[in-house]
Amino acid sequence: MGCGLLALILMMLCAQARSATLLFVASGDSPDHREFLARQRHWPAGADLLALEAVEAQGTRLVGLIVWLKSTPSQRKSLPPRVAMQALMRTGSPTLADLCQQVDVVVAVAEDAARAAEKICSIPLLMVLVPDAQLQPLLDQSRGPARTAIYQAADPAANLRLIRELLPKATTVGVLVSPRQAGLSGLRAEAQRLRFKLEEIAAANDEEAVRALRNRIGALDAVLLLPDLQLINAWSLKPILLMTIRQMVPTFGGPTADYVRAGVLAAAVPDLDRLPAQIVAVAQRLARGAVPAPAYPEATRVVVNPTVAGVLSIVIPATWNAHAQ
Amino acid sequence: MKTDLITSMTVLWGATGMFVADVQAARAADGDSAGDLPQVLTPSRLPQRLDEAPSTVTIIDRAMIEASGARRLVDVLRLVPGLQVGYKNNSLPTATYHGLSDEYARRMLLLLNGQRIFQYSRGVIEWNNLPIPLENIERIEVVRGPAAAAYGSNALQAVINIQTGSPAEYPGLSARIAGGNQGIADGFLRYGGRVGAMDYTLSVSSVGDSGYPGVYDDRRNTSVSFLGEMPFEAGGELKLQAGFARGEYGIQDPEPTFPAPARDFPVTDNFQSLQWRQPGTRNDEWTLTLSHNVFHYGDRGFRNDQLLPGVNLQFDYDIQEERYEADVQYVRRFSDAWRARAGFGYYQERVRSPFYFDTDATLSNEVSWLAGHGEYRINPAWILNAGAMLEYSSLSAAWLFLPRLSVHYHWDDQQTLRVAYSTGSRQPTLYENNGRAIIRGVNVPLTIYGAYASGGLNPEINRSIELGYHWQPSRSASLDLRLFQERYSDYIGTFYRPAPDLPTMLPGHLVLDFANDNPIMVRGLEAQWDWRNPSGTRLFASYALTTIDAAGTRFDAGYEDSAPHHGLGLLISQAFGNGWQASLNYDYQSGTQWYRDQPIDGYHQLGARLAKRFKLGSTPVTAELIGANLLGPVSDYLPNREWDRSVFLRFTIDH
Repeated sequence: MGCGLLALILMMLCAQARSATLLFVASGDSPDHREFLARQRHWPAGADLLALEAVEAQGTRLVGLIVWLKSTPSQRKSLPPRVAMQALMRTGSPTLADLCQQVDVVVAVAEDAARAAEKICSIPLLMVLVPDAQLQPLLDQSRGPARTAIYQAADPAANLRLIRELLPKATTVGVLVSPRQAGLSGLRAEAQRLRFKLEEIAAANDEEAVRALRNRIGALDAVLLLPDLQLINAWSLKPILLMTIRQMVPTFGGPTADYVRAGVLAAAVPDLDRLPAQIVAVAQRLARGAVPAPAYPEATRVVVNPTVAGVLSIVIPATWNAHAQ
Repeated sequence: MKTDLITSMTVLWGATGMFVADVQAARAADGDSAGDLPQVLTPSRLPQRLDEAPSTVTIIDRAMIEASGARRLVDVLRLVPGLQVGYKNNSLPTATYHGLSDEYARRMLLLLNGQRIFQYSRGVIEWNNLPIPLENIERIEVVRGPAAAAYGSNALQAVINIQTGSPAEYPGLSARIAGGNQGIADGFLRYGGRVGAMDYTLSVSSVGDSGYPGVYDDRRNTSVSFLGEMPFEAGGELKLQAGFARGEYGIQDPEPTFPAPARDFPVTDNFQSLQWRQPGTRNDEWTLTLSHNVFHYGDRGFRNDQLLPGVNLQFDYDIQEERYEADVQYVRRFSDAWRARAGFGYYQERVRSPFYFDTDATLSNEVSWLAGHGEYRINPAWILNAGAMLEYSSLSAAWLFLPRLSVHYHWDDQQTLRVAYSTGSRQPTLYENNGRAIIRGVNVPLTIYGAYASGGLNPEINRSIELGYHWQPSRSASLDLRLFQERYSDYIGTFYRPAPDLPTMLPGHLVLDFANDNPIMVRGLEAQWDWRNPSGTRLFASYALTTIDAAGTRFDAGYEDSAPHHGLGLLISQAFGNGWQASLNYDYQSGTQWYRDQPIDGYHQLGARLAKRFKLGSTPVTAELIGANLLGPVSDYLPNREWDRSVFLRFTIDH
């Protein structure tokens, strides 16, 4: 009886802890980001949702989604019911500033929305799907409300483990790094653990990255692409893939599965279907006043380009085929 | 971003054997249908696995070119089994596959990024004067065996496809200088950049040496080349190529028919091409290529007033040529089991050479063709390739049907057996069909004939059968064995015939003429082994056993000895720590005799290279010490012309 009561109290506390209202905003011009918002509608039972087709944000056209994680109002604010929010919408496109007054946490999807939210909203901000290079200046703001992020790309260390899995005999992994690249210590430690020699190839921009890699490619067993758009972008990816594939050196990583479709052999990428759970957890911590450190997506999946694998004579384990893209 | 990435993906095919239909298929695939072997593009013009291509291919990559220490592209080809290289003159290196060739080797097709590069009137490849520097070549695919089903004329014995890198691979400035004994003095400069959406690279190269010791045959080859690539927002890509090359040669004829003074002459070659590739929406792709090529062999010869009293004779070897070409290709993947390519094309070649054709008029030849190829995967173990070309040449006024068929059987994941039947063809050159090599009197109306072609030649046809075995025990090792038989019919040989009504250069009123000979059989075995390991070792070895049976031929031209019975090539390279790298390349050819020339003994050639990479400030530098013919003098064409040891230093910087 005593144990049952304790469990009930714990459940109530947990339920209370999850109570929060989140405002998701994303650029209205990006089909990818619209799709991402659509994914958020598959929310856990108990959440109440309201889609906002247009949100005015000082000239930036956004779309939005409000998520009431529970029907119980949060402790911090008195939430307007859905009808009140709908009334607000009937007055025209709600502004981001007005909406931010009514919610606990704003979740900005990608760069445009993140910039708008950072500028307009004075409530805790969680940024997702923002490239690292754009993310860092937004996180570096020292004043204002709490800000944090879930990185766009998976932990590069996960890609190192992927390399070890596919290339058991590989010894040297090249990685292009810019002077401002942060978070290499974790990668170095993982490389050491996996018995890789991590060849850090310094470059200040994409052209330098191509030149530097060209000079070193002959000594590498694999190339790991970090999510740094200053070095690895739609322009530089082409020559990098050409020279690596021609030299039979496989390339791993990149922030999204598109890089794999473009010719990267394999990458661990965020599993967007499972990202909402992490978003909820981080947002709720923000709502409670905590400031969690930026984190990599916890749920990842492996994508493989079987054509590139064929060209490079790399055998993909049969058990991976079900997940290959 | 996604669109940009997919666009960038489509460019992979030219250099890597991938094309958009493959990649699109990969996007949808939930299994591995592409196999596990490198892909090649040249055999059928369809990206295919190396062990499923209808012809045997040797791939020479950038690392091999660097490790070989070669200064001329043609020397890199010594590694290819069955391919022999020789220098009758420093100005005109020659390469042939399975012999049957003189210094004007004309039975292989050379392509530069798919465009034909050879001198039409004599069929010769100007190896020294290719309008592309060696430094821009990333990969060479050598199709060993006839491939007329894909390329038509001149793909009689082999096809060599030189592939440059994409301009985007060469951003910034690169420079290379080299100097050594035997007058070696080379320079190279390349700049790559972007203008709007177009990536481009501009290269300037100058290569020179003093040739054979004691012979007046200095050369300097200077080239300027441009590559540009512009992707379109909606997909597809435009590729521009242009090149200009000028060779400055000294020449001293080793076997002059008449006293010929040592002299200088230029050769120029320029080309432009435009290629538009457009992916379709049904796993398909269109490619349109337009190209133009101008060649000028500027040897204006000499005058002699000693041969005939009172007559000042003009010897002149000047040739001007121009070629226009259009080529349309369509590639489509119908399913994982079935892919096909279809194409048609046209080219026109025009030649003017008053002293080779005894006319001031411009002669021309027009060729039209229609071709297709299909690859059908019967089941995972069996693959069928079938292709053919229908070609019409105005010179021979005949249609040629040139088929190819191959069957591959994957014994297991590593081993593949193949049997292939393929055909090659070579239309007679204008010189063989219409040649009138003459000397003219300057002060008197006199024409003396050295050659007088009777014409009416049939195209040469090569019908080849091969049995092959491919073994790839790991991604870093492969072995290929090939047993082959080639039957050359209507081989165009030379002979001397009496011409009593003509004043002739040769005594006895003889002129050189051309005629189709009786069939020649070439049989042999070829092997190649390519291996690399993670500790930086690379080993490429090749062996060729070649026998030629010309028992029934009309002309006693020494066909049987025109290919070395044994040939061996070896390249070994090792990377050490701290940027050091060393390599050795070795070439052995048993005794041979180039077509209608003097026999030469077998020879061993050894080259070595020691390289060190370091940084000068923030600039990467590579310093190399390279030696060739280290085992002693080598005669690879004539017994009295020997290459001596050469050593040179080379520095490369990238900025």
